[in-house]
Amino acid sequence: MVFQVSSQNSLKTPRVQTLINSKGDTLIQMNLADAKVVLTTIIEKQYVDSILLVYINRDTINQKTITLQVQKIRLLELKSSNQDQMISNLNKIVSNKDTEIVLLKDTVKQQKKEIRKQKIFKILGFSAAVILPILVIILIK
Amino acid sequence: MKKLDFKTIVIIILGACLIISFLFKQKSNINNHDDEIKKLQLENTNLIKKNDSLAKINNQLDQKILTIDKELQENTIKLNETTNQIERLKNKKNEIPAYINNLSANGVSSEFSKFLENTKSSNTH
Repeated sequence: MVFQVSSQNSLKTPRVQTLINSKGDTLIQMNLADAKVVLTTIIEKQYVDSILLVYINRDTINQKTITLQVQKIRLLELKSSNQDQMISNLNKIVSNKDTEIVLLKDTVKQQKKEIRKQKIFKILGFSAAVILPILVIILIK
Repeated sequence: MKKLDFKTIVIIILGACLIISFLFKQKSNINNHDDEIKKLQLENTNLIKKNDSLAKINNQLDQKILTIDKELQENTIKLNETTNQIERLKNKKNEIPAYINNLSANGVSSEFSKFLENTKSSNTH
């Protein structure tokens, strides 16, 4: 024998009813359609929970990605700064080489002048060495 | 005053020439800029050393960047996996009403039982 207990104090028959069976167990009774609605909500909630967990995992991965990208940007900035320094050093080396070339050109120019002068002295010296003895011999006679 | 003969005059002239040549002898004063060139070369050597050390540092940075790139690629793969998981779960969620509607009363009670069992076991764990 089953005793029916109303779950609500209303005039309408409630959609969900409470029953106590012969063993004394309290049972909840509802239509199949209502049970399907409850079951749908429950299973959907389970899937939503699973989706939420995946979204949390996805968020963690995204945060890691952002941290890694920030690190990468910093390293690239450092690398770029080093490359700027290297370019500056290379420009300085080129400038020094240019100065060196100018100085060496100046040295070569001076040496050319000196060589020309020495050639003239050599010619004069040889000429004097030939002319003077001849002149002396001629004049002595 | 004794008259000078020609030989003496020639000797005096030659002597004078010799003295003049000694007096006006110019030292070779070519400036080779040795000190300046040495200084510039030393500076260049130092700059080349600095560049070498900077290149080494950049190589190390490149290796670190490569490691980060690998991790980023792995993360991209993981993100794609999560996108697929979410799509799969969303599709399954959308299929629930149709699945439940097709269930019989026994099927509904069976699903409730399964849910309660799972909840019970997850609560005990």
